[in-house]
Amino acid sequence: MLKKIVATAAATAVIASGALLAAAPAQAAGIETWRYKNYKTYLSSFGTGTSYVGSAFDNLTSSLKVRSPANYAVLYQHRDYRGAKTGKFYIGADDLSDWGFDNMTSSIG
Amino acid sequence: MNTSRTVACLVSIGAVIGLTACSADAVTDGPPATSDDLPAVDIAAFDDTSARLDFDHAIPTLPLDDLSLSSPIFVSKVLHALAVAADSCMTDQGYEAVADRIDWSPYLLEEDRTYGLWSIPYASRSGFDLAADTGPRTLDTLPLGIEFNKAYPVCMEEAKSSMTDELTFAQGPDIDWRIRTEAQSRASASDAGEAAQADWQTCMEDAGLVLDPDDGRPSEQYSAQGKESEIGAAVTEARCAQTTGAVQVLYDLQAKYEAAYMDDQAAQIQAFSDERRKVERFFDDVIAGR
Repeated sequence: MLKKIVATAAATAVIASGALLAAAPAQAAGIETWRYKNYKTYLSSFGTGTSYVGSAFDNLTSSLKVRSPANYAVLYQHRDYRGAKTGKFYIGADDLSDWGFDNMTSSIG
Repeated sequence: MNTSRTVACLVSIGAVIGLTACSADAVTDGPPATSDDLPAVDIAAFDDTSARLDFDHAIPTLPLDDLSLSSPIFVSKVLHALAVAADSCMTDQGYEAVADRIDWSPYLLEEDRTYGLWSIPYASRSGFDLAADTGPRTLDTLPLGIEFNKAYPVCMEEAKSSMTDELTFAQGPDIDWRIRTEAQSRASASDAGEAAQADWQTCMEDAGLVLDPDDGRPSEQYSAQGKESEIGAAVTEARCAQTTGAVQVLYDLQAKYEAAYMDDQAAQIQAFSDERRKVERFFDDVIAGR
């Protein structure tokens, strides 16, 4: 849990500066993530088969949308699809705390 | 063990995040208690319940499987219905239907890594990457051209909009996911579960692997060193899962907790099963064009 809390605080500080969002390339891969619930503060787009979302986005996702070409998204607690996971999101979720998965995502399958 | 973890911390990180993590005691960061709204259950009456493990594909067979909304049968049905609905939109615009080109029979389940890697064949081929050829089959739409590929995502969104309620149910979270997650969490945190994970980690360290202090798994640096190094670490992790018996212990515990919760939450499961049957009928109707 310590890792989750510290990473969240550090990356939030970067987002607040604007540098992270400006530097993040859009991958247009179908799984769109947001920093806060109800799709506030866009983070990045990922594809299925993302073994690590990267240190800039680790443990930050609070809501997501799933669009084609992604069939669905499964969020994992740790890198490389380890640890706890969600069910299969076909459309997404406006509040991942409903899953106990707020600020928990490290990889996406 | 502590020495190895300290070394792993010192060489693997330079950021504040990592340094802070290393200042804490090494922990095994297993599945969180994300479904703590479920009350504690006694698994003593479920001594005979165990998990059957497919070590080739890292797939456990557990009491809750048939109920799970992540089962291949259910997931295939959802995706098939979406593809048929998207086809309807596409054919209205003059494009060809493609849903029937996909084999919708139940697929080979993705490997389960809740507690770590445990398939030696997969680890030998893919390292830390997910094994190929698992999960739902997909269609390569690139040969269908630019215009098709522009139109299809729009039609898929329209298809999703036509069945929002059913897809919302299919995502959960519902009692199936809550029980599974709770069972994983309790299995991991139990005395026997913690001992199994400690045995697993000791085995890996005895084999020379440096572990990540956050989760007790092989350091990510093995991936940075190249595929050969990554595969070596992954194979050791999977081999230790089997030789120590740790993975069997953990899934057996999960099986007992799942069975206990299925017994304890029988009324909720019945209501969930009724709703699930109704939703499945909806998807069947879409697939059949009714």
